[in-house]
Amino acid sequence: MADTIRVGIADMKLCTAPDKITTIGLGSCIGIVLYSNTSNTAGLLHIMLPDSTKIRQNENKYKFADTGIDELVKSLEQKGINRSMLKAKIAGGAKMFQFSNNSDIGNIGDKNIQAVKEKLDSYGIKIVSEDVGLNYGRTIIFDPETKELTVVTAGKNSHII
Amino acid sequence: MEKKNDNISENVRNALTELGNIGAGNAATAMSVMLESKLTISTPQVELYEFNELEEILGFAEDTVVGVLSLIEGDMQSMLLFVLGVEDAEQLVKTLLNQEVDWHSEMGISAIKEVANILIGSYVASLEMLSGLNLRYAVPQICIDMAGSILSVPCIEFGKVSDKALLINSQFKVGQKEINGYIMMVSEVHSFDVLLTKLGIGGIDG
Repeated sequence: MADTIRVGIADMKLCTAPDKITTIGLGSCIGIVLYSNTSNTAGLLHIMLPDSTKIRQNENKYKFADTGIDELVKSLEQKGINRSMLKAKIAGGAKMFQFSNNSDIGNIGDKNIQAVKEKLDSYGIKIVSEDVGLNYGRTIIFDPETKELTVVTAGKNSHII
Repeated sequence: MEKKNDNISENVRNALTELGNIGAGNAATAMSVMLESKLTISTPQVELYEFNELEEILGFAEDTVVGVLSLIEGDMQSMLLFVLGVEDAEQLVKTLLNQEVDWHSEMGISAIKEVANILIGSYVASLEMLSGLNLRYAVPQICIDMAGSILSVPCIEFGKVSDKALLINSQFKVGQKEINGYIMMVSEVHSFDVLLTKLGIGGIDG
């Protein structure tokens, strides 16, 4: 019986087919899926903030793009997946409330997107597909078998990236 | 939701519950006048939540809700969030405008924003009056989306300083019209210290 593993906010989990893995209600946060075409194990990370070095309260590594992606790569390598084989699909980083642009709340989504892209780039991990930015929340479900990432928005509209 | 992080002292809990009572109570009075209907308000719940718990406080994180958020600045930093279910929003607009208006229209949305503005304004005013703190609040912004996505906004803001957020949550009901909603004050734990010190109770940690 296949399960759907749920990843919370500032959290990370791995998943092996036939199970699927999901995170619900991404707003300005970003969901990062790392997988390899040669493995049916994948990992999903749900980060809240771009940079752990700018924050005092940084014990939870999964909260940040930089330390979270480090942990995700490390966990997948422990499962025998070499980092050179990893590919990424990402979603989230929305601007939920239209506060003025210079406020931190207004542009945290953009900062998260940028930080995730830079971090993945530093590992040489290619982003195969993405659904980021704009102004709506997203739930994502990844199938490690087909490598499809389903993005569901409010009102239950969904598409696959 | 069951409380899981019970590390707020009884004194602090009582003081914050009372603050929430007065804040939400004044907001409710303002709203009663607008709606020409009696508005009842629950005793607020004061809890420290982990982010993962906060996500689920409104029910299922994936349900669509209407959220109106305002930032409180000045002597303390906080957020006030007014949340309604979609059906409640529809009912609220109908009650306010006394006609069949699509709640999702520009007119409907601006009516909801106006209600939130009045609620938030009177909540903040009563906090100021009680504490003598100087507070400002930004014009509220509206968002209609998944509950989890909306609540992630205060989570991120307070995630910068903590893994927990303090929530004062009041639930209200409008007369026979069955409009349910929530007014939440969400803060980073220690921003309440300023407020509690002013009230002569001391900080969260004792």
